[in-house]
Amino acid sequence: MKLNIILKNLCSLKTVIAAGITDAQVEIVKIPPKASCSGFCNNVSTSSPISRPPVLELPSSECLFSANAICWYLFHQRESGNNTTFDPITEEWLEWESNCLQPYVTTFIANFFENNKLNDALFSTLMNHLQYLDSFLTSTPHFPRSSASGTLPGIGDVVIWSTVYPVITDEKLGADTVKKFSSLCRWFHEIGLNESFKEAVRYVFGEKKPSACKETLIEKDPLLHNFALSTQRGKLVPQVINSSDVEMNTSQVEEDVISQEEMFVVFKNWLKGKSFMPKKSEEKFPILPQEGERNILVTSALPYVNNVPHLGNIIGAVLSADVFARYCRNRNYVTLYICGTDEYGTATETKALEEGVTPWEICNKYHRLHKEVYQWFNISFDYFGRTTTDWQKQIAQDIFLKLYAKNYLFEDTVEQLFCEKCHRFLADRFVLGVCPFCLYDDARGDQCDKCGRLINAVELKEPKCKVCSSTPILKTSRHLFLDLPKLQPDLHTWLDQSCESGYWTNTAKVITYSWLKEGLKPRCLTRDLKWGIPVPVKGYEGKVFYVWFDAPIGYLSITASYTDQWENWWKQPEKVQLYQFMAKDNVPFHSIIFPASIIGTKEKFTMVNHLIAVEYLNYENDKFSKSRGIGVFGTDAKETGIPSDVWRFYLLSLRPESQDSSFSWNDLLLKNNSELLNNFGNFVNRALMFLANNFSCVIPEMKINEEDKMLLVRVNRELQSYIELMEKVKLRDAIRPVFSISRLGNQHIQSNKPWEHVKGSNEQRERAGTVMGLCANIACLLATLIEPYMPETSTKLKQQLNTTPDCHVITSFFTCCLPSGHKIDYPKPLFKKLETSFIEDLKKKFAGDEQPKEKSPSKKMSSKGGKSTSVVEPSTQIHDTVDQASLDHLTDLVAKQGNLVRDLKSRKAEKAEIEREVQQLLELKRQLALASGKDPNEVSGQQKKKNRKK
Amino acid sequence: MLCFEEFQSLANFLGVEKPNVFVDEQWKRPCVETSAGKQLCGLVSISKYLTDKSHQRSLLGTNIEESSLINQWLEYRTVYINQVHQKSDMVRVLEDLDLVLQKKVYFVGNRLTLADISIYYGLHRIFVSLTFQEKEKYLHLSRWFNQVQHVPEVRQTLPVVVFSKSRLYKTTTL
Amino acid sequence: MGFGDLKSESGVKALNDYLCDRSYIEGYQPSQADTVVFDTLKNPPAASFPHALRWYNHIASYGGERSNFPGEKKDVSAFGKTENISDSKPNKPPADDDDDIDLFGSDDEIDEEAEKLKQERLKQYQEKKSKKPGPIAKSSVVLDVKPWDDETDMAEMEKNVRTIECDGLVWGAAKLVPLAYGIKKLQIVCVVEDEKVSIDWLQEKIEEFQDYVQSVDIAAFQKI
Repeated sequence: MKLNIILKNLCSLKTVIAAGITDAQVEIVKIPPKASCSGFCNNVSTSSPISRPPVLELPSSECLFSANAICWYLFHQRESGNNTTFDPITEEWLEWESNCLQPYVTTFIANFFENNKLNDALFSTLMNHLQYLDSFLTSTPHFPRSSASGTLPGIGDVVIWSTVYPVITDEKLGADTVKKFSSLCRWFHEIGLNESFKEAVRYVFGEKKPSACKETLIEKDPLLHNFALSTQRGKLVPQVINSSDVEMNTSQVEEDVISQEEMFVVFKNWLKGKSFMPKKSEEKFPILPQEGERNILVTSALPYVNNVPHLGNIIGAVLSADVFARYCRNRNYVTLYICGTDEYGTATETKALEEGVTPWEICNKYHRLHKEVYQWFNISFDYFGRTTTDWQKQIAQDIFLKLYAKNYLFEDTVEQLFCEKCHRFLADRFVLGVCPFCLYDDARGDQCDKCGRLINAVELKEPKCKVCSSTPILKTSRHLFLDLPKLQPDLHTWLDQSCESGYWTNTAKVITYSWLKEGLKPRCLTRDLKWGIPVPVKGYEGKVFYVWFDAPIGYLSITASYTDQWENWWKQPEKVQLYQFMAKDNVPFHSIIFPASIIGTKEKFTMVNHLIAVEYLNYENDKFSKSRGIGVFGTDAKETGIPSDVWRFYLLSLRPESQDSSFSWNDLLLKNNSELLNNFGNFVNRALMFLANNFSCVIPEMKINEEDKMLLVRVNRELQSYIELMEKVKLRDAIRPVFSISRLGNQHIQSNKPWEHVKGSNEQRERAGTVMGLCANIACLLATLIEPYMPETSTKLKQQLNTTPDCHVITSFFTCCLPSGHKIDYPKPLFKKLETSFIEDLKKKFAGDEQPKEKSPSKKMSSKGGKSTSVVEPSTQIHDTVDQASLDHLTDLVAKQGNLVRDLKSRKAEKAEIEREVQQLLELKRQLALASGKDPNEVSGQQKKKNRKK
Repeated sequence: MLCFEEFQSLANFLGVEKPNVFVDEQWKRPCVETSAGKQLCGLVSISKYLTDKSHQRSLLGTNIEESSLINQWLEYRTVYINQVHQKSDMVRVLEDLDLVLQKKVYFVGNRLTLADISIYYGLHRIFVSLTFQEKEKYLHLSRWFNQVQHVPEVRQTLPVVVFSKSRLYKTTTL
Repeated sequence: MGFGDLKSESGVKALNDYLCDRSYIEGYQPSQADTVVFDTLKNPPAASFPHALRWYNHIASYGGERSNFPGEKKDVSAFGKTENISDSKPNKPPADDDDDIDLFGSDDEIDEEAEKLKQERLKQYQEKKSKKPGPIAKSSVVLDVKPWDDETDMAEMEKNVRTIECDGLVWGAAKLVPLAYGIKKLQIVCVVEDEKVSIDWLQEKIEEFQDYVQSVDIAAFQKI
């Protein structure tokens, strides 16, 4: 075996001693200091711990790069052959040496030689380590040794001796002070008399002083360096918390310096009290923009009525918008939050056809469903309307006519697909086929699910009618087109200005500009359909608006349904800031098509200032996502029994702001139990219970000391960062400061131990009262900050705090809203623990629905509406109950036919003949699948595809 | 994941009684009381102790060479992986581990050992923060991670880290 | 379609590609699938196929235990990627995966039939592809470029960064974001064509402006 070492290195020293003591058959190879051993690969950098000497090359050609592991190997090889017994005490010392002692010693020495003087803090910490060793060695002569060692030093002796070697022997490093540790010194010298030690020191250090080890310190390893420094500062607890709290943030620079000035300002604000807080503005009806106020208009993408909303819709649009709207109201901004269902268009017609009812009935049904789901999620719409209103018709036609009058519309004849069998023009969504761009073979006529591009149905390759699957023919029809190329320059100017001055998410900008770059194409705004707004131009009777044109107008018409003074919001761009929330696939309609239409009217409209689009939310692991349309739907969330606040919090904590994120049940449990229950809930309850039990629910007198002021400063900083993030609509990131505040509060309680003080002298009791009164005030601030995320919890907490709405306006500083003498209500826990078994049950429940076969009708609905499976073919509505006999019979037939095919093939029969029999077999298999309850659509769908490809 | 939870999961996996963990304030490390009534401290020591008590002792290695390699990786986990606080630290650790796993399915030998389990627990918090692109960059390590997290007894309640970008559903508003 | 002829270089390459993110042929434990492929392979793969070699060595370590792996022994062609199209079509929506559900299961002949169809489809697809290029995969990347100190000329730094030009790289907007102690970082957006520009390369290029740049990180990354 080869042992590669570097001279003047403490870790190498360990291994050379161990090799000596154990008489190991190793060949020691000296490596130049900067070189690395090719332990794993030749191109590892020297700074990497996995190639840094000492490295022992094992017989199996594996390598050991940890000095302690090398010693362990050498000792055990001598002692026990292959029978390893576990020795807990030695294990613990080895771990302590590698985790605690060594990083300090190296940091200490490195620091000393860097600055040429002792660093007091580092020195005293080092002394603690030596003290620890000393006290152990007072009661025992040496570290534990195995029986095989006899009188020879053990592994613990070797590794610890080597590491303390420079600090005990080198007077520069304070060896004088070390003398007071008499037991440690006694042990050190006794051990040092052993020949193997002497020899090894000679070999590794030669004539050099022990401090020469500075040249080879692994302190150059920034990781170790970090570790020692941070532990010393008490910043983190190395093992107990596995740093889950420590955010991985490259730009996070510690700013722990608190100036007197900052403290003074913060404290002054604290003393102001709530009388200095602005009054909570009263809710008026209707809410209208005010002169000299910040007027915020919030919209979330209008959900289409043909489906129940799923978690992706909820987080992407309505919930995100809700959080922002609530924040704005807490800031006393004049805020109007508008949303509603988008009801016109071909998808509704499709759905109506499917369910055998009228489009209007479909709209009523789903509008109600959506409303209920959002109500359960506590979405605070000021108005939740719909697009099938007179206002919609009036405004849409008005904009359309203006575009017409200004010559931004031109007529063209369109060759449109016409299904002779169904005797109708096929709307885009009624045609399926191969995408002309990416060749995805299940594209819809209006958009390809795969590449996301918009398509004209006639461009589809191999088109077929969605209803009857026959191939449609081209027929001519007249239509009006929006001249987007003509509008592009004006649109571009506006976009540049809006993106520059507002908060557009990166996704939104990227998508928008990629459209501009490709150059805009004219877009057909009319359709041969019934369910829609009639085109108000002569010669176009019987045609309606294209849904992409009229849907964004829904925001205006729904506002009009809310108040007839809607133009105050929508025609005063100088007064109103418009924030629009959506998922990224909706971006082009909000940033290109709608703004272009508005610009074309040459009238003044409020246009989007801030476009907030998110990425996608995935569900659990990849396995589930293979099935189509799987996920938790709005209605399911309610059925889980988990409070809507917890859902809201969890979804927001995963909000896919800059990249896709994924939903996981276990993560939900973890977040609930660790963040909500253990951090936030625990802090609030602890503070309030304490006041209830010890101060009969009355806030005691607070004598703020320096430590409290520091806390105030830190809370204020978190508050600032909350406001800053919220203003930039970084809704997920803004959660962090909230929880940092409750963490700060928890720490403050922990370090002041009020539960002890309260039993002590008057002064101590006063201190306990101050700490907890302060914490109650922090709880009051938290009730405000958490409101956008968890409104029900916030309400509960406000009741417990017995506060008025005026206490819950967000201002830029933290002030005392609960003065001494304020009486709170008796506190109750805010959150419940989620049990693993409960979550496991839910996981199973939802996994159960995700079998390929979906029986429940509601689930059917929830799978994507645009897919071919949603049109039920008569032939598939069979075999709900099939007796075993016919199943057996079919199985039998399949087997026979299979044999026949096999036979034909082995005889190399005519291709056509085999083909025929294979078809027969496929048909039989299909029937068998149907009979045994598999989804017949998938069978038929697959078969068709196969046929087509022939 | 807190070390308490880690010990719970590990004990679950090993089929031994869950240890009662407390904190050694001086060195900020977890402690348990052993069956011999002694106090035992340190993440590595306790993990090894629990494994040693169980009937899965082979997780500690079946010969000295394996055992010492496992020791080395347990040490690496506490000394390096647990100390990752910045992106630059993270990159170094991930690069090293990726290199190590280039030619191997598991860290030590040809089967799952305590080294894999401990490093998995240690890396989990880092992996959940990785982007898909980063995960692709550490191809070997990601493959290993995905392998280990698919042992349900190891993963237990930890969230699954998703490795392939598969969109669940299309948003269908408007 | 399996890996093709595992005795040929292309077969081993297919195996290697398949195993790049897998430890075993099927699932997460050794099975007969591994045994079958292992036995077909006969010799260890060349070092130029690291993933296949890693797998081979791992399976070899089981020795005679191999024959007792769980699972059903199937023909070697039954393993591996069932449809290679998915490789060449990034971001394939999940819906399409349903097509992979083999409702015709268990019958080898029919599998063959299905395979043949798939092969044809693949061929057609590739023919089409060769005639008409597919959509260009692009990503939008936000880079954080950090200076050495507060005296670094950030405008000059940005200018330098923007001098990096290559086919498939478009620079977008940039802004300065305060870090601390008066230091600001440069946040700059770029759009790259995945096939033409490697982000690693780009980072290296930027880091070459050593006078200004301390480090470069990816702040956000998304496929467009």
